[in-house]
Amino acid sequence: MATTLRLRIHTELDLGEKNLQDPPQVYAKIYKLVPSAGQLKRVRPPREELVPVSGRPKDWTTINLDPGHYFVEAVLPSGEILADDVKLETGRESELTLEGERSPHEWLSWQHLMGDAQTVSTVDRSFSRLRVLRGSQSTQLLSTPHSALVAAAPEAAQAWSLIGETNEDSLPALIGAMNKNKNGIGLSAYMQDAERVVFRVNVDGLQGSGHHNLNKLSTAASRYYIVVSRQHSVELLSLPLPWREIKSHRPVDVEITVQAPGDPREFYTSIGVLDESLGMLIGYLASGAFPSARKLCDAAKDSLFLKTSNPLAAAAGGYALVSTDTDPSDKDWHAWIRNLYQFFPHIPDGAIQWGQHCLRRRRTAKDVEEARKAFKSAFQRGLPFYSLGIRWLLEGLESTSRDDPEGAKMIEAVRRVAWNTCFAQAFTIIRVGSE
Amino acid sequence: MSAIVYEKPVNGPATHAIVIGVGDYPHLPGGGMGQLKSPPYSAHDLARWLIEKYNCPAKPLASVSLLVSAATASPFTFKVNNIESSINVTPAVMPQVKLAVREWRERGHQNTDHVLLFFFCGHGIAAGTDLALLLSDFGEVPTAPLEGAINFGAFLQGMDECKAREQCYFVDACREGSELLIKNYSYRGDPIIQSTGNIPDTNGHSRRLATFFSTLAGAKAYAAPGKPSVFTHALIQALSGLGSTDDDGGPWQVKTTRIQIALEYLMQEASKELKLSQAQFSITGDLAAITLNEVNENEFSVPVTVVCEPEVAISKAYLQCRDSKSKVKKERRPVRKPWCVTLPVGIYDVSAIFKSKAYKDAEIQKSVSPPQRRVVLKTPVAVS
Repeated sequence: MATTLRLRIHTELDLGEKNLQDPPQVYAKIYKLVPSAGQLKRVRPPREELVPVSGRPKDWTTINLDPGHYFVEAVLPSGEILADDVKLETGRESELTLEGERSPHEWLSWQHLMGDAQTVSTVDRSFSRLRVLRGSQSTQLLSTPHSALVAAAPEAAQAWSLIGETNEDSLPALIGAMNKNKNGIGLSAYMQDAERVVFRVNVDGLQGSGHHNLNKLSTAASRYYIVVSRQHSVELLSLPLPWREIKSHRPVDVEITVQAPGDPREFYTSIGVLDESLGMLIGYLASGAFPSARKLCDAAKDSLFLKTSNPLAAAAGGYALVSTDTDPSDKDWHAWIRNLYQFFPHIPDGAIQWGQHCLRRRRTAKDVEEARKAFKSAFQRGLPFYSLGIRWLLEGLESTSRDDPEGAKMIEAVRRVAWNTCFAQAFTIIRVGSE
Repeated sequence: MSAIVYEKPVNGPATHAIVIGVGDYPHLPGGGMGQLKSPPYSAHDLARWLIEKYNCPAKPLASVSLLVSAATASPFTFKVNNIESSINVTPAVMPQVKLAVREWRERGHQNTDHVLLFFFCGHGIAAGTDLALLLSDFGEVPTAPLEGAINFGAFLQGMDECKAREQCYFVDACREGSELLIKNYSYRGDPIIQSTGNIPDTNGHSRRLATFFSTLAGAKAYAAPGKPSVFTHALIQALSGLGSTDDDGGPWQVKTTRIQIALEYLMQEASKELKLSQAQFSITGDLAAITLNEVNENEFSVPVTVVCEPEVAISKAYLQCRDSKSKVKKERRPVRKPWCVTLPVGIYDVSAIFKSKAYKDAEIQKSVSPPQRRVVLKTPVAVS
């Protein structure tokens, strides 16, 4: 006789919306433990269920299980492992809450969940306190230029050389060029403390109380960047906007965190999308946990690819799919990657994914030629939205286009940008100038 | 001199490993890099672990190549069937490494089902995705220092033309930013294996590639004398069982996907102990799911941390772990810090007993499985 388990992961999350219908979810493995030779043994394979992650006690997933002893495990994008045991009795509903590590602030909770909040615990871990690393340099948001860099294909291709060749002296010229000589938009912080400052921006979403709707603050642009100053350089953040939640089509905030790292050679900034449906997938992509990202992508495939209401989110799914594809058989989603390439020219990532797909599955020279075309097309489309795109583009061009002069120039341009790209982040962040 | 230190004939799919450790850099051109003590220990320990412990019935270990450069060379020793062997090791200089890597690649090229393991420990210099692994003869030619370096990215690309479809790379090297790579734009070291444009006949199977990188900045400096580096130590723990799972229904198997989870945990723990910040590197580059060795669940232990709720109660608690036969496996007197123990995979009764009567005694049954377990004992304040 089955009984029910109500399962949730508790961690405070500040997603900016108080009335979210569905909280973010991750997969948990549920193992039944059964007696065997005087010991309890795990029944395999485990059951896998999507479990809500939130600070709201009302967010549960209810699972029907046989009575008995169970072991439950989930791994968050930050790498934190949550696990516990629960005993289910006949006719009685049981609850299990897996407790996530506390974030230093609720407003920093999303970055903490993604593993981006720079914290180090004290040596005495008994009281779960966190000591924040202190940085010596100030972090000030200078300007948020809206850019025409990728408004049209010919200009998009110039992004590579413009960014790759900029030095400390020519930074104002870069910002001016990106803004077409208009002033950038100053942003006020959503929240801050002595070490960190968080900004939230969107297109067509909330305005005020620390949220910035860029469409209301400026004339519409095809792409938005944020510039964050360092001592002798800036960090240029490519914002994944516009971003809409794939089920409700609600505009979603992009969160930018600026914090001084423990090592000044590292990057100051990180980007997250406060998307309850796909934020976790992007977190797994950033940490290199591609199989976990793939599982979440599989669960959201229809919303991601068939409706294509958010092609930037579909591109995240594309990375999860292409990076984990080793089976030689043809799949439905192969056509979806080609669609991203063909129908969304303003997103270079689709072309890069199609090129990688063709290259990884190459059987004849035609496949290599198709990959070459896709990579060159991607270059012409401008900076990828995802940092993985920069890596794949560079690898792809090197594999397919080293011997032609045009390809060699592209490789050189992409390499210069790659030297200064933060590959620990899912979205593209580039340091411009020398630090 | 062949770099192979272990070889066993295997019919069919097999595992071939190459292990490189560089501590001796006689030609370093100044700057921040210095001599390293831990890489020779790391390379010896990993190679020894592979020969003595690696157990993959589906793809048994068929060969291990070992190249090590240390300030003071020492022979490589290992035991098989209680027979100890001692072998002089090939130095990790470019001509020898080139030869050994190409032979390793050729062994992999014989069967699409082979698994290839590559391990490097030493200095690394990086610029973006470019990574050069420095061998002992790095800088020997002052006008061309990178002749003694492996262009890791190009090497990985070239290895895609090797038929072996499962390839794992472990790089235990600081990825220090380097002007040298930026200045030598067109040359980032020797790829050793070049991309030729050939398309390997693999029945359409893409390569399953898993790459792991050390993430602790300067961690090697923290390796204890005569011990491997923090990353290699964590890697051996992961391979020994902390990176294993029994999800497939058979024996406990080490898988790359679980290695990633175990290494994330172990490296975070190490950085806390050493008070280092985690560098902004992902621990993985690519992460295809590859099954490696099998482990016996009784032969490795899992780190377990026991805490009380409220936290301060632990300073008064007598703690105990008993196994399924009620045998006391571990116990501890009151101490004002969490109880960190290691226990074999299994189910345990964990209890807190208070002599002071300040808190109520607590007992809970918990299962322990890799890579780690945290147990919270709820010990309410006793009401008098």
